[in-house]
Amino acid sequence: MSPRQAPLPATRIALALGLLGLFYIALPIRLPATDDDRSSEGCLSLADRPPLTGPDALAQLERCRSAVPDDVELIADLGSAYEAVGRIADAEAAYRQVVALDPDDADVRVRLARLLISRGDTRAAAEHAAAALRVQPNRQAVTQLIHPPVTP
Amino acid sequence: MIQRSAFLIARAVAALIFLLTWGYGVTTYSPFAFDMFVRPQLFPQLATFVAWHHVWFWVALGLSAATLIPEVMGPRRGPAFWTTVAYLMAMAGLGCYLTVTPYLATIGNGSRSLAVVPGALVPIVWLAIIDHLSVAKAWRDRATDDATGQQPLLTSCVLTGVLLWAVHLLRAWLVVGYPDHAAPALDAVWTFVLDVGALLGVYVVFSLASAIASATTRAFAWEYALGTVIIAASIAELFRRIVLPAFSFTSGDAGAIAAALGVTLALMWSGLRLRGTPCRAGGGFASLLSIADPHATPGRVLMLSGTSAAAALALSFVHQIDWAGILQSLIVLVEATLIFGLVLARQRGKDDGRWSLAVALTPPIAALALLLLLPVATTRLAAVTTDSRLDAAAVIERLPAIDGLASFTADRLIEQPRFDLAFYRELLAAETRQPALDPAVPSATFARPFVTAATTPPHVFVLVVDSLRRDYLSPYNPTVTFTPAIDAWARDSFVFGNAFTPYGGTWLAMPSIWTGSAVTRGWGRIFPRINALEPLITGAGYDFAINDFTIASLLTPETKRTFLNPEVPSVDTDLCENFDALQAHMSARTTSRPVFGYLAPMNVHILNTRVESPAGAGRYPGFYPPYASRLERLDRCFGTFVSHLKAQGLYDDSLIILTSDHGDSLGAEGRWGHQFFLFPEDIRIPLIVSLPKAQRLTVTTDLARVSFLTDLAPTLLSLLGQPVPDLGPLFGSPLFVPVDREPVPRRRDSFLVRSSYGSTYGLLRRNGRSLYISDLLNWREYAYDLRREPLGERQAVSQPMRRLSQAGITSHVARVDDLYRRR
Repeated sequence: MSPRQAPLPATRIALALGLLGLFYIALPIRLPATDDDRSSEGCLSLADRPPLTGPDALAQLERCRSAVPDDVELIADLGSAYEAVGRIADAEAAYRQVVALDPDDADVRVRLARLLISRGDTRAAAEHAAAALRVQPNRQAVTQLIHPPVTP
Repeated sequence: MIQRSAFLIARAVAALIFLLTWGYGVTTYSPFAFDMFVRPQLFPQLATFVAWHHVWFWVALGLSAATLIPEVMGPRRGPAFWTTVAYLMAMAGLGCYLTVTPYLATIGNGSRSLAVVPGALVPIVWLAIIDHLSVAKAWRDRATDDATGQQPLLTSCVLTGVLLWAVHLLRAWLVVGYPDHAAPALDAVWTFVLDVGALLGVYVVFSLASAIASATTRAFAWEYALGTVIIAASIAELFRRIVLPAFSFTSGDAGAIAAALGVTLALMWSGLRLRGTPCRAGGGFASLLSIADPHATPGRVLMLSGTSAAAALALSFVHQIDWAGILQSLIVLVEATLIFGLVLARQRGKDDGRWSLAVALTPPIAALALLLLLPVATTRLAAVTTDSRLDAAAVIERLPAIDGLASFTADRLIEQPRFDLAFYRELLAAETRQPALDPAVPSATFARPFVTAATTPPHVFVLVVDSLRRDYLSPYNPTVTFTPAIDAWARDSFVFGNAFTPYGGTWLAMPSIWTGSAVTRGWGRIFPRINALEPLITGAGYDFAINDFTIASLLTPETKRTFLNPEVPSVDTDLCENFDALQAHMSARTTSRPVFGYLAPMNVHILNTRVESPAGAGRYPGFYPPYASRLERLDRCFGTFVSHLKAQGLYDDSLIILTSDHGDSLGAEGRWGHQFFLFPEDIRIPLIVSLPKAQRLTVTTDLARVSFLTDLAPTLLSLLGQPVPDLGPLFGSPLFVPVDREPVPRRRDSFLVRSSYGSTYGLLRRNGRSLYISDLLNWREYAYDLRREPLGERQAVSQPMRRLSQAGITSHVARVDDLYRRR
């Protein structure tokens, strides 16, 4: 289009208004979405809820473990669920994974220590209890794991 | 030239005085800003200005009167003369009134301050009217009457965009230091598109104004007037959307205040430009915006480089200030406007009167297309290369450190993926509604009458060191060597490793300590009825000593207290001086009552560390030297105080708490300050508690449990034998419980964190390991895994995470609003 003398201002006004409108409609610009995996959403929120119970709990926890693999609370729940159905080895493995991810989780250390005591590994249990005491000093439930009260 | 410079200096000083008066009125009118800045006298210079305001008023009047001598002494008795005479008489009368009854010093938060807000702008507008009237004849006598041509306007916009882009990139490389983990080529493309795109947006707006002006018979005057309207609207919009929300103004107030300021500043500028620039051909925009004579090349080059240098200097000065983001935006916009004016003025006379549809359409549409395509292309590139530095969101993160104008443009134009606008609108709407609603006292609080305890209360010392970062303390970071005294003390104490402030910024953090609960803005209006510690202090018969500027003035007058170091302004409060005063107080007293000391020193606040010499980097490798050196001194004083307690036999009967109201950003990833931030380094705090000897073995705790400042009040109540009910998730809980009980678990709870001053919210989950941040002002969202110290590890924000976190934030905010019945 060759340059020419300025057209009527009304045309230029309309054109500028049109361009402004185009900017207004096109903006704001949105960045492309990355992912939208709704299947993991329920698993993410498990950490904020009371531990799952019931017959479907174990299956749901196992499914979510792969969706959110480092969720300490979820794995701890899984350990409890394994313990409830008598899968002690799986429970111990789950608890060990929790303390590996979060060494300061004294409650899970106590659960693990109890489990270890029940299968006779008092030395390992004492180590976990001592670690729990560093986080929860003086707590009676933990000290009693190391020095059980003498019953008359 | 000298006369012109003297005129401008006189007017600038006068305007500054009037604008300072306006600023004081605005901050006093805002309940939030009044409580935060004015009441605690955070800036002593401001208090001095207010005390001497009547004198400053006369200075401003004298200076402005001097600039009006030509109007008064001139032979003509026209409108300019009479308006000038009226100005001088009215202002002299006002000056006499202010001298007899100083007004500014007497206003508080209320309607009297409202009068100052428009009132302070009146002299500026009046002077602007005189300026306009003074040159009215010159306007009428103009020979030519052109609008700005298409070619000069387009060339100016593109040139300005390119110039700013080059200057900003150079500044980032040479002065600031380019950010780590950058992708320079991609960053350069992004900043170029954003800078030039922004200026082409300006081109469209100015083209419209120019076309409207061309349709009139006085194109120059109309263009000049429309340019003034654009400036006024831009200033008003900038203040309404960016500056005033930071002071918690409602949308109505912000709109009115911003509009008045925009009109005032635009009129002032317009008047000064009219006085300074002889009317010439080439359109009104250049006359309005150029600050140099376009035909004097040395002047133009000097002004161009001077403007950029001044902007660079101003940016380097503000980059460590809490309001850096806002100030950076203001500076780069002023810089862009002035450079645009200079470039536009140079294009005058180059218009051949031709107009092309292609020139009108192609550049803006091309810019728009690039703006739309760039994020898509960048995201593709990041996906193909699996290089996270190339991700569009990562580029946008880096922009503030590279190019302020590009960052400003990106913040206004670009939304993050699948952005839930409703979430933002809902929260912002709730924020702007709230100041009009007085908070109600919750139905249950920790503020209860003291129940006489069986044992003698211990001495209590609560040390809330403003902005103290835990990773600068040896108990939290073994590489720290400059806090040996705190380290030694912590070995006998309980070191809580997972403590957070619920509020970024002192204003909300401090009352959360005293109430043991989530607080709402406007808390000061009900504070006496939700204050949990004051009944404890009075009920237990404590000898109460305090040095704090947030809480102390809101305590009930009946509570006897010793205010330590009262002569020291808030910003200068020093723990060493506080300890000296406290020790002197304890030595001099005749009573045997236990002491309750509450100290909130500012030793390591950014207002102090930023003015400290940066020397000593070698002494504190890996740490910010001004902060570390101040902390080293604080540590020595702390050690001396603990030794004093031990020497006096008081230590074993003392309960000492060392914590901070919030952390601070000290330059990591280009961030400084804490007012608007909720980044990991801002919300993580130290929390170390040493108990009286008699209690050390009788209680247990969970040092890894996520804990908050809100836990301090219930903890003190509990340790002093008071009943502490479980009031729910918006309230704290005791950090210590008897050894035969289980510490209250929190691993499954989520917690709201929010900025005291800005519109930034966060959600802490998974025992403080997971942090999600929503920055409502800048439309940014962040996710962090906090297991790594001190900055955490940035995570990509996934859609499920966004939905979960936004729902959590909305729900928590609603609960707090319900607690105080503010919905």
